[in-house]
Amino acid sequence: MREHKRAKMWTTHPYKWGQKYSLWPIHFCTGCGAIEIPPTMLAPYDASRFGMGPMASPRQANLLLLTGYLTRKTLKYVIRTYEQMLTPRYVISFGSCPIDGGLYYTSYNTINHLEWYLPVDVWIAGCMPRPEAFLMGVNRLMEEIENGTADGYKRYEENIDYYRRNQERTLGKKFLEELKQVEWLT
Amino acid sequence: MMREQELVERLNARFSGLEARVQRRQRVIVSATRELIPSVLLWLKEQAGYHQLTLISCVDWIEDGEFELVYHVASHASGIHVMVKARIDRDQPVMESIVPIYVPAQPYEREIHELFGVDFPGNPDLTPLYLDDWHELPPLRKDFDTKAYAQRTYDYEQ
Repeated sequence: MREHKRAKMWTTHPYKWGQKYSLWPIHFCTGCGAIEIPPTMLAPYDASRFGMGPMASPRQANLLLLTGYLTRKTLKYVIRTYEQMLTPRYVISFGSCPIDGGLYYTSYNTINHLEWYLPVDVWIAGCMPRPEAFLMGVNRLMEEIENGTADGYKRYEENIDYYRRNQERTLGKKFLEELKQVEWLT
Repeated sequence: MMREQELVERLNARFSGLEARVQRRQRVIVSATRELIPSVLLWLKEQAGYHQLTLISCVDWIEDGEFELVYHVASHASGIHVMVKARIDRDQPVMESIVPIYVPAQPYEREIHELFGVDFPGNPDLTPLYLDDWHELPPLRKDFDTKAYAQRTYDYEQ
């Protein structure tokens, strides 16, 4: 986007500027990629340059980092965490395992396709992605927020039947009934 | 402090129906029957100073129709690592719990109960540890088809 266009957009839609430069990833570490997060956040790569910082509660966060393979147990907590976050909310998926199972394709306890259960905005391939790749993914997410194409949370609301069907098939009816009992999920 | 050879001789003299041998320096293998396991472990702990239970592992010998339980115990004084092995029937896998002898055995037995289906009478808590909503065969048995299960559950046709 050209500079004057961008300046015009930000004066007319200032909330986009805020969304782009204040990403607060929730501190939810899954799988092996969580080990790449500390050097990214701390001095060696310094994610504060991008306006990012770890956030403790899903209510205050707007970015969910899924850093590796997801077991069936973890996926339940990931879905609950995602649904507690306020919109606009974004998901970045790390590594090969959430894409198609990767190394754990034949495991009895890890899911193979993350996009069946949650909408993902940015995929980062690799096993594991280095912090540089992670920061590239963050830059990509920022561009998408600016262009308005980071619409995972809208897709989740529009196709909720599809996601609920897959969640039920893999995680069981009991999980969905437990989800429904909570008031904030309507 | 007993060295390897002395330990093996005393084990063979003390118990009948037991075969002990030195595998290499600081490593002793004891093959016992399943009835002998508690008394061998109690003797090792009380008489020979093997106070640390490092691990209990389970091997599925599906061709023989048997499970093999391996109790790894170690002595801090002599630095010797003893593996006590026993085979149990695969169709009715029952093994007496050794929690009264080694308290840290509780989570190991619970894990083997969940992943192999071996029953441990005497263990106070055998509820599932890792899996939830599991209705299939125990997943680490050799006759459980992991790939078919994964494709059916996580990679099905949309």
